[in-house]
Amino acid sequence: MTTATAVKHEMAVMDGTGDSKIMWSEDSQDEIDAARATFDSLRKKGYLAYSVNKKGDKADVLDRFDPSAERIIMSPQLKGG
Amino acid sequence: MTYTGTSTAWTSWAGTDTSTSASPVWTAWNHDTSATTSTVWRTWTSDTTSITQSYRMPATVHTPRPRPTREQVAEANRQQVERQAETARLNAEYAAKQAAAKAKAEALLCAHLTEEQERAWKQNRAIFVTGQSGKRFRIREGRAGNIEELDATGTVIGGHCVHVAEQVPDADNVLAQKLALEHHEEATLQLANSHPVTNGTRYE
Repeated sequence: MTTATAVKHEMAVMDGTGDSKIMWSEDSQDEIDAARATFDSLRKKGYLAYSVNKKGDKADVLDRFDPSAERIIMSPQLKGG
Repeated sequence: MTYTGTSTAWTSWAGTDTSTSASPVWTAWNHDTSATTSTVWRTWTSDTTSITQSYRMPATVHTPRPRPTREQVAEANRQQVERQAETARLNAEYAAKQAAAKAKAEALLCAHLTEEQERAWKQNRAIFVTGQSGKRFRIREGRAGNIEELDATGTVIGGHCVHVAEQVPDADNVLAQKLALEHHEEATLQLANSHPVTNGTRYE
């Protein structure tokens, strides 16, 4: 059971609604597995993943899901105009 | 040549025939000595069927539509008002969703900008970004053709068009472009449709 004090990690997936958020706690394996499945599925579709921390800090590129990442941004792949 | 009456007019049309009765007129026109409806038709059309049999229009073409009753008109009007109301409701729902998506994307973008970038975004709807190589870019609000490359003096020297492949709000697109230039600059610019700019605007 997740306690009220457990730190929630967040993955923001950019989409037509602005973004969809997927949350997980490091002490919930089910939540981690669900977030990892979403991450892997989006990466296969060409999404780029960035791990970000404090406001304005430079992000890190993520090639694999990191459950300890405070916040992840999933950006759809880019194309030339 | 002067014609003074039916007789001379006929003589002129019919050549050597100076008669003016119906029979020789018919003969002259059709090379046929009979003048019944049936033979006229055959002569003119080379068709042995009669007009009444071959060219009768379908009766339904001319069947007039019945006038709608007062109740039917009222019902049609009621349905039209309902359709208009439904269209207005859907348009309002779409506009509300778009506004919510825009606000959400704006919040996500601002959460990942420095204070200086956020100030610039709110004032000018554009941010300055330093790429992996150290090159400076200015990203304007928009979806395509909104990345400008700057030289060391802050003058625009090129434009790049590369954007998110999915339909997302503009602020999401700007955040994706910012992250891509900061972490995948070379790959991003290889994808871009780029062009040089001469006499570009100087920003800083």
